[in-house]
Amino acid sequence: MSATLPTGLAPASPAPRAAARGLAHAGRIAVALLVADLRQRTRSLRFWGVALAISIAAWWCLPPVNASYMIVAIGDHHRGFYSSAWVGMVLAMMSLLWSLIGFYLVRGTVQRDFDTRVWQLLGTTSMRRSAYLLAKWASHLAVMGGLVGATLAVGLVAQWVRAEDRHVDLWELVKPSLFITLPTLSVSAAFAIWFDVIPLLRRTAGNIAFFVVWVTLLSTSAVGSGHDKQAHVADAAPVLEQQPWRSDLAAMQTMQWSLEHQIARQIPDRTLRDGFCVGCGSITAPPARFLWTTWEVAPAVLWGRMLWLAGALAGVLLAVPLLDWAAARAAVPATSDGARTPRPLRWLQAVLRPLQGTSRGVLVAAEVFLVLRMRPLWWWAAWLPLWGVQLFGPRHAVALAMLGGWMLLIDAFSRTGLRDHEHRTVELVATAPRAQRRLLAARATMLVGLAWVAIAPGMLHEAFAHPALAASACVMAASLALWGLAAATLTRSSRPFELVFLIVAYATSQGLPWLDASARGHAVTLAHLAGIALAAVILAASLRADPRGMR
Amino acid sequence: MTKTCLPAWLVLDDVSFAYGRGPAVNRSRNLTLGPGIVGLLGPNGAGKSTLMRMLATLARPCSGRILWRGTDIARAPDVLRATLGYLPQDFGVYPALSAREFLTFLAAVKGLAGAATAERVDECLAQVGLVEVADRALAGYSGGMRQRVGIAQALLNDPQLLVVDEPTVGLDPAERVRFRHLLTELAGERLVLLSTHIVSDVEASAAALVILQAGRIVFNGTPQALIDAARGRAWDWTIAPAQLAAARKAFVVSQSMHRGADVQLRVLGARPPGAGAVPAEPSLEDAYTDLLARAAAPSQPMPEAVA
Repeated sequence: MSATLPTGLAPASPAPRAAARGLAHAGRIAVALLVADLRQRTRSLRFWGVALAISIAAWWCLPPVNASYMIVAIGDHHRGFYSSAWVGMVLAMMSLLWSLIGFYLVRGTVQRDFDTRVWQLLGTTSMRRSAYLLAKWASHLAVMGGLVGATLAVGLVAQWVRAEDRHVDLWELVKPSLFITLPTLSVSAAFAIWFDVIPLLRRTAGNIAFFVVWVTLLSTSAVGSGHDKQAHVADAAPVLEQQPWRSDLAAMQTMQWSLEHQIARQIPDRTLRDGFCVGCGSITAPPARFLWTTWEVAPAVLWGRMLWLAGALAGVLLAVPLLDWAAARAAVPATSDGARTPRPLRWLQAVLRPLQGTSRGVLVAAEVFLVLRMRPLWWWAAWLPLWGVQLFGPRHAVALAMLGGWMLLIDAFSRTGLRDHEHRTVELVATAPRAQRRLLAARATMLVGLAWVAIAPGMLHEAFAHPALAASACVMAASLALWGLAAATLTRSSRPFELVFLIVAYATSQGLPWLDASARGHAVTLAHLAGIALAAVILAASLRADPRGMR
Repeated sequence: MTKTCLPAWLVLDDVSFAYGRGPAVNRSRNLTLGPGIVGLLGPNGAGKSTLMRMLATLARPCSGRILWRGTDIARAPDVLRATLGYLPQDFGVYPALSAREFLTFLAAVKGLAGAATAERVDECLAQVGLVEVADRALAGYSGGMRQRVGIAQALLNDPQLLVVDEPTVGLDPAERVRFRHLLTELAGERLVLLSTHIVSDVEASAAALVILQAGRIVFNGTPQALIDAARGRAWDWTIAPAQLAAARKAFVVSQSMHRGADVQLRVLGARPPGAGAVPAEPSLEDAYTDLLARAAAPSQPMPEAVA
């Protein structure tokens, strides 16, 4: 006897049901991973430190009307009244910056699972690799989204305190972050996954590579955001349909288009022609304000933004086939230096032999070996052109070659202070009398020495003609070395120093004098001397600090 | 009952330790130790590693004092550090250095004088049998070889107090035996604190035992005293396999072994567990298991050597 069910009530065939069960299982795993990951991250002081710093930065982005600077402006000094819509817009325009900071904050969780061998527990379960990576990506996005949420909260407070337009419209406040910032951050989150999966990009090399990627994205955004000559005649409603759906990653062009078309009637065409700036700095005239109560945006533009999100998602899924390979690569080395065979560097042993008569010299020599023995061949080869330019190049090229030399040592500066933690030798050295002091002195000596060796030909080049410039370069080198050590001691991470160094180096290459050994004037040298003093204070304080009960 | 009677090199005076604001994980009331090998035994989570870290100056007691030859090591850790050798349970090495270079580096960290260092490094390498591979990079060392490097570094300053935390983990049987012999050789005029949960390690080398449970010292005496305390409390009992689960539930069983169709148990308790049970000579492991069972049940009488 059999009964026939109506078509709509018929049980699903076994295959789709199994597929649905599998999907639900993967979903549960992904949620569990996401929650655990978020707990792990948000329970660190670093996360709350960055959240506080970003909140302060967000407050600084919304200066009062009598301030002498602007962060987002049209032309030289035009900005919107602080309505919810304009506050949301200003904060969304900082998305490229958040994406940079966010990457350095979130990256490393996949690698952490490899390093802590949690992966051995996860990888041997029925967990789908795609669920794992998507959970990590979602976790990255949630952390960065949380920070953006904090900036929006600060924005709301700023809107109320600045009191230019106290009408709160939460949708207008959140809308730009949702459609501009979120897709931008999703791409950063996907990069963070890839940079953990590819062994070469896991450490300092990846931090440098991402900065290069970010600068490239920044420049493509800036290049595209030109003035639309038709803007001044435009009536917002009809032209909305003409709004281009494509956008650069940070949506600079989309925002430029919206600004020009929505405020064309409120400010002079001349001002519009000057374009808009993000991170403008000081202004030459008192702020002029326009009304900005809503961000008018065509649905096609929003779908265009979602393409970036979809692209990021696809990028994460593309990394799935590499995950097991990456985990296997990570499992081979016993330390973070990888399985690379150390070079004996016999010539260096001979050079450093005179040092080894005293215990302090032995320490300095060992530190030098630790920094140099694992270097690949290309690293040694890179010194030839750099030193060649330092010896024979024109002054500006000499300065850039010096910067290049320091760049080759960036991981030494940023990681030496972390060595005992990374190699799990803390307990071996901390139980020796006055070991911290001895090691710190040896590491500072080694780093300053290497920073000087990196620019030795350049200093030789300048020593006779411009001894002041050579002395200035010496001071810069010492400042860099000590700040690397101090930042690692202070933050227990290499990333803050690496990020700041990359920004400063980039700014120097663009003409700022911060690390330009060819720049005349004493201001930069004096600033570096002050920096050396401050770094020394931090390092001295670290000897007194007793975080684990050690003295 | 025999109590250890040693010159007071190391004294724990009402020491307690807690993580953050949590409950105390270690409440070592009073303990006095002198030269010789002292085995520190206890189940996982008993507080052995916490006590070891306090003795190695890596953690400070929340209350009480640890005195090394009369000096409070929380106030003046360098007094102990100058004469301390410590082998942590888990440690790393610098893979870019050879064993000789790594030991020379650590000798400098410990503040050893330059001229004698090379000789001392060679001695330590010889003691742990690494002379032939001393110039190979540590990146290529096996886990057991790295453990031996760890032992060598602990010996560099010829320490008076040698603290070794789970030292035989990762060693193969031959290396384990070699390490026990080394410990016996080293004991002489120094205090060796050997923390482990492997009873046979202690049985082979320790002259005194300190047993921790739930952060408290539940025994301080010689291994023989511990065995004596368990004498008359060990029974060999042969039962059918079907009874095994019930027997395990009802009694403290330290061993079980299939003998033909039956199962032979070593049961610990004041009375025979059932018909056919015969008195047995307790091993150190039996005595240790019996002690932990009694310590977990406060109504049970404890051996006299309990601190």
